[in-house]
Amino acid sequence: MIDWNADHISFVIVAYAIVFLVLAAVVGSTLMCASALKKTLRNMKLADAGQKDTV
Amino acid sequence: MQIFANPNRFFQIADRAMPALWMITIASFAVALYFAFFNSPADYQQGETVRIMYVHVPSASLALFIYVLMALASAMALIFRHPLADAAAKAAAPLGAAFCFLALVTGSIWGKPMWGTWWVWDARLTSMFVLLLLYLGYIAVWRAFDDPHRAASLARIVALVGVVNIPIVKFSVNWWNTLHQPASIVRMGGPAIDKSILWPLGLMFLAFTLLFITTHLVALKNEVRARKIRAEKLKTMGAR
Repeated sequence: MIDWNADHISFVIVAYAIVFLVLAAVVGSTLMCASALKKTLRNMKLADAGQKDTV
Repeated sequence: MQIFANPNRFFQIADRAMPALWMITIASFAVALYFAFFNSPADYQQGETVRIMYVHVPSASLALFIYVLMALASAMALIFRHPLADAAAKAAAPLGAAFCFLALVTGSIWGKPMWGTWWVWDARLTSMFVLLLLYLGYIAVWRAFDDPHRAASLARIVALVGVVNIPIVKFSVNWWNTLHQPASIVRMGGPAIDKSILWPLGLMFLAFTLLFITTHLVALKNEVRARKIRAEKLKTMGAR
């Protein structure tokens, strides 16, 4: 069990905070990128289908 | 392996596995964090700061593992012309760089109370910093060229040449006199760490590895989609 009043506990908290912030940023940006790319690809396909319809 | 060479087949398999992978990753992080904070003792010398090890060691191990993976994927791209190999290496690079950065930062935060300094240019720390530069260099090569084929051929060389640094990082603590401690888990004679600390470390390593696998799959799908978009754009430009 962690002792929240121990010496140097702030180093532990800061280390974990940085790790989970960076991991959240990496995962978040990858997922956001996935959604943006999916949208772009869908729009391109729709535009392509629309072009064929008009032709 | 050729089953995964078809991007559509790859998408189908990845899509099916993704929800389960995310759930297992989140669950393993919850269990690992519980063990790291509430079910493991403080070290008799380092006190509570030993808990930094649970995030430092998995980050460092993954930083090394991902670079080896990138080099293997680059070799496969070079030898077998596997269509997804370059994409897999490219998608892994930012993740490897993030884990390498985290290993350096958490090591520095751990070093201050234990060594009395944030940083020393000893062999382990310096070779790990070189690994971060190799990751950044690899990412920069992909971004430096408009033509992805030219970028890929140069990036493969960076990945394959840079892999020389991996044994240097691993054995630096044995080859030179360093402030960083010698290997205490993967070493002759078995781990030098007590089981009460080794178990939470193993769980955290599993959680980090699962996070890498899951994020890498998403990043790989992104790369395949980006290539499709590029191909579609080129087709449209050619039609005009």
